[in-house]
Formats: sequence, C-alpha cells, structure tokens
Amino acid sequence: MKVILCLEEKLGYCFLGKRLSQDQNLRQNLKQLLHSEKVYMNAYSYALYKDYFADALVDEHFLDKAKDHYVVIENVSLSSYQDQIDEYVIYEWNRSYPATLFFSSTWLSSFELVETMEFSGTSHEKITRRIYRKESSYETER
Amino acid sequence: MKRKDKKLITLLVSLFILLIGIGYSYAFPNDVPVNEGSSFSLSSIPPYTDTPYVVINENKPSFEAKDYKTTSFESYSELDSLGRAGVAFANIGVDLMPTEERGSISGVKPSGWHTVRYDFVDGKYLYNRCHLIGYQLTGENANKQNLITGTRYLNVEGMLPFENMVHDYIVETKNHVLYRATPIYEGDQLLAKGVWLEASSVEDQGEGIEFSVFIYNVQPGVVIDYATGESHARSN
Repeated sequence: MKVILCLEEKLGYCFLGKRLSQDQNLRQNLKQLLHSEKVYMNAYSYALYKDYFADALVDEHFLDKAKDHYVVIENVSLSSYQDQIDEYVIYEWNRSYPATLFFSSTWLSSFELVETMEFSGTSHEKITRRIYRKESSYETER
Repeated sequence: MKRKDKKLITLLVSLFILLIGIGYSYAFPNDVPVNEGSSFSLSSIPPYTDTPYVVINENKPSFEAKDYKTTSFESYSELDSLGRAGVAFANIGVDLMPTEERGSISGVKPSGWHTVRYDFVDGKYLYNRCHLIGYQLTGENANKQNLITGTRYLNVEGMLPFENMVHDYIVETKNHVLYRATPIYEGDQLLAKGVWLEASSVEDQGEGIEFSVFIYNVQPGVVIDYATGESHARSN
C-alpha cells in the first residue's frame, strides 16, 4: 500500500475527524505524480479530491482493499496498517495546526527518503513533498 | 404600621435581596453567562496537564442559526471596570484580513500585564500581548479590546495553531468563518484563566471548520497568581 497524507509541523494530520488544511495546488501536484494510477479513499476525502481524482475508488473500508495501490489518508488512523505500507508520499504544510491524529516518525525506520520537492500552494507559502520507500530486504540486511 | 413604613420596609428587603444576589454571583463566578444563550463553567474544565487546550461542549460551538451569514463583521467588548478585555466575535472573510505588516503593540498594557523573563521560556518573556482574534485574521493590531495578557505558551502553542487553521481555510476557500474568543476570568482576577475559542465555517455549515476549545493561560514551569499576574518559577 502506498500512503498519501499531509502533515503539520508536529506530524499531526487530523483534528477530531476533520482535515487540517487543503490546497488546490497540492491536489494538482498529486495528480501530476500519480497520473492515472488507481487511488483509494473514503467519501470524506472524495468530496475534496474529486476535482482531480473523479475516478477514485471510494470505500469506507478502503485501507483493507487497496493492496498495492495508493490511498489518501485524512481522517483515519494508520497505526494498525504499518506492516502493509511500502511507500509514503508525505506533504508537509510547514504550518502548525491543532491535531488529534498523528503520524509517527518511527514508522519510517525501515524506509528511505527517495525524493524531496517544494512548491507554493494556493493558500500555503511553501509545501514540501517527501517520498519514502521501504528499504529492500537486501539493503536492510547490509 | 403606616403605609409609608411598609413601603420603606419593602424597599429595604428588596435592596437586601439584591445585595445578596450580587454577593453570590461575585463569590461563585464560575458559571457565568459569557455569550448570548450560553454559559461557561470554569469548574468543569480539568486542570492543565500537558496539552495546551481541552475540547469543550463536545467540540460544538454555541453560535445561533441567525449568525450564519456571508457578511463579514467584527465586534469587540468594552473593557470592564477592571480594564479587562471581553468577548471578541467576528465573521471572518478575506475582506477583513490584513494587507499590511503588523505594527508595534508595545504601547498596550492589558490587565495583569508584567514584563518578566524566564530563561526556559521560548522567547524568554513569560507574557505576550495576546490577540483574542489573531492579527492574521482581522488585522486588528493595537486594539486594547482585542488584547489580553497571555503566556507565551497560550499564544504560540495554544491559540496560533487554531488561528492558522482558520486563516488558511478562509484564504483557500474564500468562505467565511464565525469566530469567537472569550477570555475567562475567575472573579475579579486580572489575568484570564484561559480563552474559550469557538469557530464554525459558514458556507459549508461547519463542515470545513468547527471547534469549541478552552485554551489554558499557563506556562509550564511557572506558577502564576491570576489575581495580579505576578509569577515565579516552579520549584521541583
């Protein structure tokens, strides 16, 4: 599973069931990254992302169905899915927002950073995109 | 008894009851009506532990249906007899947001103000002149009706993340957000115990932004006398 999520400065991504922020340039950037890849999300996310991902697969149990595909995470906990994740696409807002669901940096202990880019958002001065991929078993054993 | 005497006794009894009533509300100020149609009970707020805010009223703000309009406004309470700022209420749209850099506010000394430094406090100064409605939202700068004495922790860790969330939502969507900041004082203390912050997005009826939180006016490692604003480092 390849996880897409947006983090504030203290790694929060959700406040009491709501996204922390949104930005049209971010969704456009994600579309450019994924092209026509299959993306799973829930109805809450689809209400926002449908402008660029009209053909997304919308299901409230999307984390159990996505397998090797991309998933947009906004208001659901990831903690019990760590062993199924091969890639993280993390967008950093570079802002502090209140949060009740947090990403843990320990989840990246067996991942390597493969790409970093920055761009301006429609309402955010600087958004940073980082892509992490799971280290191969060969590299882990080295 | 003459009719005049009866009238005098009735008047004195009424006056006595009135004074008792005033005395009661003064002695038990924790459950006070602070906004139209709602009240706030400081006694229901748990003591500060390690997070800058607590969710109250199940995160539901107490705005009325008639408040949900798409016309921007902002209103600030007159300072009370102790010089304390009161409720600040706004319907924030992009048209209220500042277009200039913020100027100096050092000339304003809100109630309970002390200039005091601690080396372990971020930025050294314990107290900030804390905007009830952040400058980035309505551009109100040195407005004494919009400023309270707040700890650095209240200002930066407590209020700023909520202000950022509201600001960025409005800029992105061009929607309006109802926003109310109510400083909560205990009795006649000069320093607020915290700020009750409520917000709800208008055009989507709270789908984008909705919260009701109490943000503590505390500073980890510092003991504060809320009656005066005086403070000292907490001894371990």
